[in-house]
Amino acid sequence: MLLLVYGGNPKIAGENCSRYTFQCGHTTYSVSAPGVSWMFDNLGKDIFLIGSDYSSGRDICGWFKEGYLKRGGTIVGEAYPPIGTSEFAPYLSQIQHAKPRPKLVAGFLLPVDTIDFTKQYAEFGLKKEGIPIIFALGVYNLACLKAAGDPAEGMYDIIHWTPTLPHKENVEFMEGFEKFAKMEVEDAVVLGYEAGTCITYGLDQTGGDPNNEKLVDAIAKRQWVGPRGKCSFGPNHSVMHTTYIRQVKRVKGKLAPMAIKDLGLQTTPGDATGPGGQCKM
Amino acid sequence: MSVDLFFTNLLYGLTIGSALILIASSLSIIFGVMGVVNFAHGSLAMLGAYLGYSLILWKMNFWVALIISPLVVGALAMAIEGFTLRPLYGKDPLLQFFLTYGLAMIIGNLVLYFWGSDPHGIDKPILLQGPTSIAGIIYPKFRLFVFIFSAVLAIVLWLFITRTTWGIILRAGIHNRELVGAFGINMSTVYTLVFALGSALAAIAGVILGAMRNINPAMDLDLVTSGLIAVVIGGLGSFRGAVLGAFVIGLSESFGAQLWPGFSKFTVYIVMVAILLWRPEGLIKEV
Repeated sequence: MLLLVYGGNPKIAGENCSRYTFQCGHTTYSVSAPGVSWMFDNLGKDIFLIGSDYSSGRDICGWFKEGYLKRGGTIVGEAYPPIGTSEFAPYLSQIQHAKPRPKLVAGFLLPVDTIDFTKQYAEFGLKKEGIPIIFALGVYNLACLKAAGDPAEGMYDIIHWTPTLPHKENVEFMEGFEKFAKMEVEDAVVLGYEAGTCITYGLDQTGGDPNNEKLVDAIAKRQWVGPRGKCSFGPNHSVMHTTYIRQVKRVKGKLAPMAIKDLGLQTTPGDATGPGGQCKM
Repeated sequence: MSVDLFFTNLLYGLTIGSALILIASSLSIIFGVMGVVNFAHGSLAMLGAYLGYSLILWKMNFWVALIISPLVVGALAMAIEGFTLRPLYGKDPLLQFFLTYGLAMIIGNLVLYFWGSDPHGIDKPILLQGPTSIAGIIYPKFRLFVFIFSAVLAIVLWLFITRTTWGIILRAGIHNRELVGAFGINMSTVYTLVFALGSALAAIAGVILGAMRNINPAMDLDLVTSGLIAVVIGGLGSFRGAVLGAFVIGLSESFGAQLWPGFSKFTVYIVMVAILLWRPEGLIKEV
């Protein structure tokens, strides 16, 4: 049995699904595509797409593009910088010269790349021009915000969790983890914890019997409320979780990603990466 | 590509190159005078960036960090040269390369130990935040500063090398160390000072780049790779060549991302291979 904590490839919810694989964390689809409608209605209809040049960056830009074109939006430009790009001037100049002027810049860059992009974005005057960035996969986490600083304030991301969620399970987990580990909780910590509780839940259900078949059956039926809120597994063993739009705001002098829109429970359809990719267990 | 976009990319390419000048020229001086391919050069630049970051956290401003960080790294470099490199002079150059590779690993792990793996950033001075406009092109003020600062430092270094007694000693030492020593000049001291000066310049570059990009424990490899490519393109040991090589990298990155987006990371390597095939000694063959 394979419990994926951070493996976000949506094909695991589709053509590569398996009875013995559980996608416990999220997929790149479940923390990007559900945000398109909100982006279109609230940030603007003319979008510039930017994604790290690998499957996740291109997939996410693909879903944004599809969603925008379906709604009658305009793709004013696309750029796919290589992973590890630290100098974004050539890409920012494309945004500067894009016509019509984009109302938002969206996509997904790896977290370290996001820091440089966000800092340079402000340097090049694009933040001042009032064009927001919205990135998938919750890249504006606390570590990123500490490094990116003020240029990140006001930017958006899409993810399944944020430290300020007020429900009991999140508050208790945050307090417990910070006391235990003496470090701040990030979304990867939450995912690790929730995947771990899937194992303990499964073993509780089987009376401690580690038999693979029994464990799989038990975990597949699990419904729980964790730091992220309500979660369960779909028939393709991909997790169903709440997805949020977050905005970086200054709270008590520090930058923090605050949930500003609850997009409801989301999961990943088998054909997320294209028709004919349905999961066959 | 429109004329407007062409000039924008030209400007950005020159700025990317100017940020690399300090790394490449100091790497080249160390190689030219000491014959050492210093693989730890990027690590010393990274150390400079982290020290700058900590100094600013300790309520010092950017300009103070830009002075103190290179002094600390320069002093450390003196110790490194005296205790580790000196015993290897005159032996197989591969030994020096492996030694500096080992030093890079040690510095990298010390950075991880003291500063952790999370990325950090250096705040720019308020005066240099945000953009300005040059002939209608929106241009970041800090990059304009980097461009001018690097140009001034490069000119000062060039004047130092070509117009001062110490510069004459450096250039003579490249051609015949023994003969320079025979004139009563202590080459051992020259080597120590050159290594310290080169490392301090790398630290200055680290602080500046730390304000342009993020600081992370993997940045050393990126910096030393860019520096080495610039030196190879420009000509091993050539100061002017290193400056030229840095601009070639900057322009390759800038125009490569526009013209061949999928291959932008490779563009600089393609340019390097083409130049090496055309002129194996690099673009310029003297200090």
